[in-house]
Amino acid sequence: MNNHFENKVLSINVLNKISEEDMRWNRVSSHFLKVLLLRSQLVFLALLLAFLFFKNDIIEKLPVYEDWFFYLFLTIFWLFLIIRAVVEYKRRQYVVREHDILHKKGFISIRTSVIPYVRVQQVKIVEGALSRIWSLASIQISSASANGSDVMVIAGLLKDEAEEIRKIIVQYIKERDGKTV
Amino acid sequence: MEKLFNEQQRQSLLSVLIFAVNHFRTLMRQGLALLFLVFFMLRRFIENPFYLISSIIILLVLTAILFLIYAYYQYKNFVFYIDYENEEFHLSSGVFQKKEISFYIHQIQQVYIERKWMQRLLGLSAIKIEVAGASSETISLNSLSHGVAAVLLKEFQIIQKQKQKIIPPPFRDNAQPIIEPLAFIQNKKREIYAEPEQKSLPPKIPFKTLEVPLKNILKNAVVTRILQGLLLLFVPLQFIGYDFLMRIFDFLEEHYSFQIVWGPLVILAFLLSGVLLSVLLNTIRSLLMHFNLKLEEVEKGQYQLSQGLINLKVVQIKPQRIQMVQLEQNYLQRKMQIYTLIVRQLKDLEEGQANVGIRIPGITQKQLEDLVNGGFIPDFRAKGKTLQPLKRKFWIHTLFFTLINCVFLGITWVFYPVLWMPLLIVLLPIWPLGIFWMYKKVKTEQFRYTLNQVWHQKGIWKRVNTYFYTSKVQSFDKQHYFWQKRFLHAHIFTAASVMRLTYYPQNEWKVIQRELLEQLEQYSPKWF
Repeated sequence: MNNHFENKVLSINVLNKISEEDMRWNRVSSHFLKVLLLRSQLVFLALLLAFLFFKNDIIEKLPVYEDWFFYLFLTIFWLFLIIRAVVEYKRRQYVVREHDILHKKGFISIRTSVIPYVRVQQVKIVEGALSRIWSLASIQISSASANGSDVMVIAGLLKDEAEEIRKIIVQYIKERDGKTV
Repeated sequence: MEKLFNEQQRQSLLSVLIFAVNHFRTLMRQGLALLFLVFFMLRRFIENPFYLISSIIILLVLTAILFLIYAYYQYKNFVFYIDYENEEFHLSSGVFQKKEISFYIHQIQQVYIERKWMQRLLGLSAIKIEVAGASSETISLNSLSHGVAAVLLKEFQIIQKQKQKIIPPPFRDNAQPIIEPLAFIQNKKREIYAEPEQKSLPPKIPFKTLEVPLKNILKNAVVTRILQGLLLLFVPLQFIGYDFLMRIFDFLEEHYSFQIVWGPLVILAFLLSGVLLSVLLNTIRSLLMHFNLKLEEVEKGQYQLSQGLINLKVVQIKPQRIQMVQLEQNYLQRKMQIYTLIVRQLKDLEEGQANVGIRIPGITQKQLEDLVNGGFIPDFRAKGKTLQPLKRKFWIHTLFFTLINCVFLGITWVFYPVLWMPLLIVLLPIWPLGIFWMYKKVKTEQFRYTLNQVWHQKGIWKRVNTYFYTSKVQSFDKQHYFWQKRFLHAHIFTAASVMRLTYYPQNEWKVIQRELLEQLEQYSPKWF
């Protein structure tokens, strides 16, 4: 019986940036930062419009109001959204290994998930409206878990990269099924 | 084999109609408020009824045209094909958000044809494909012409038959997976997990019938769910009405002697009658639900659980589909030496059931041992390596508990100063008691594991022991705030439920996760 078990990090040909020996986390495409920033600016714009629309009602209810309050609040909120987008981008990492895939994400709370390929039930590639501008896609990997929230969604991958990961997983499943039949 | 679907195909052109009708239905269902809003806005601006009706009609026609255009693009982008060489099914769809789904055809758990009234009317059929598991969604090709749907179904079956697989594979009657995980573990020889109990496993003696006597069901009913019953008592209070309650408070305020002498007695009597009422209700409920509870083997590897007084409820249980087992025992149950057993099995794709926990109350230690020896549930007595949450869990909980108490006192101080002192008198003994409770809770919580099984035990009043075979694990997940370097919250997902571990040491957990992952990945044990 084979007692020696290896779970090497796989290098994706498209990027060829993962070391074979060490488990080094990969960042998603740098274009994804643009998507996150754009998304945050849209949120900012929506809130700004809502605030301007209800500004008079809000001011009436405030005991004290100065214009600089408003500008300070907006600046802080805008900075928060920018920082959040940058941190979220930096924290969004993944590793494709020989037998499983790991994904890390989060802003304040960091969540790391791992799905072994032997438990993968479905692999989906989804292209969002904003992501399509930079040819990005996200890969959704689901197991048979009861809780739907554990579906692994790696967003911000280049489309080719997502396709490569999908192929690796499908190939693994095929080989495994080939062995068991 | 003739490759009928090897090129990209679209659904029937009539699918445009189906898509458009579906959008219209969604609008009616979810956007009714929006429609009303539009109607009232129009009425505000257009006073003449003729123009009002005309504009509504124009709006409806415009919406229909928009839906039709959108539906046309949906039809155009909805493309599927079978990759015969790799035995994969590919589907891409979406207009603004493009979606690509592909799966290995042997992964299909269930595939069937569905024809609703509208599809029948248009001569169409829908093919529904369930890939597996509870969280995986059903893939639908809703508007295939009936002939194409039948041929596609046949193609799936042919490809699957070529690999000698039958749909749906999780429920093969002759499967013996309970033996399998044990065999899978017995092959491992590692010093760290060497366990005398596991090496000398007794031969399995399948039990034929297990009956829970009425006496035990009644005993169980009397000692469980007391708190829930008490909480139920507060429900009618909201129907009594605010005025009535205020009158009672006014009466108590006016008659101070009554408050001092009879007040505590009234509260005590209220609580006591509440306990009695909840016991009575729970007994009736238990009798109705669990009367004549019997678990019997109907055929090899398949059991049937029947129970109920008026409505007889029958559930089929296959041990291989059990994903997670939970043993509950509160303090009073411990004194009576009875347990509540909850088995969580994989959802039944055939019957469309949700992942249900099947509750077997009033079960004795001897009966549990029979179930274990018969291979119905994993062994709850086996020992393994133990890991406990960090003491920090206690400190964090204590901090929160103290903060909540302070907030209560603060609110009372500001808004109801009269009640501040009585509240302080009540909270003073509750605070240390609560802290002691939390200390014991953290102290008694533990996670045990071997290569074969994992257990999680927690609770002081009610001890809950959750456990399952490691072969049932689907995925892992861990979570922590970026400043937390020593502990994490870990989740182990199975196809029926999740095991949640909070405030466990990070470094130790990494080792455990690696060990368990290695087992899954090296030996690919079956989970159904």
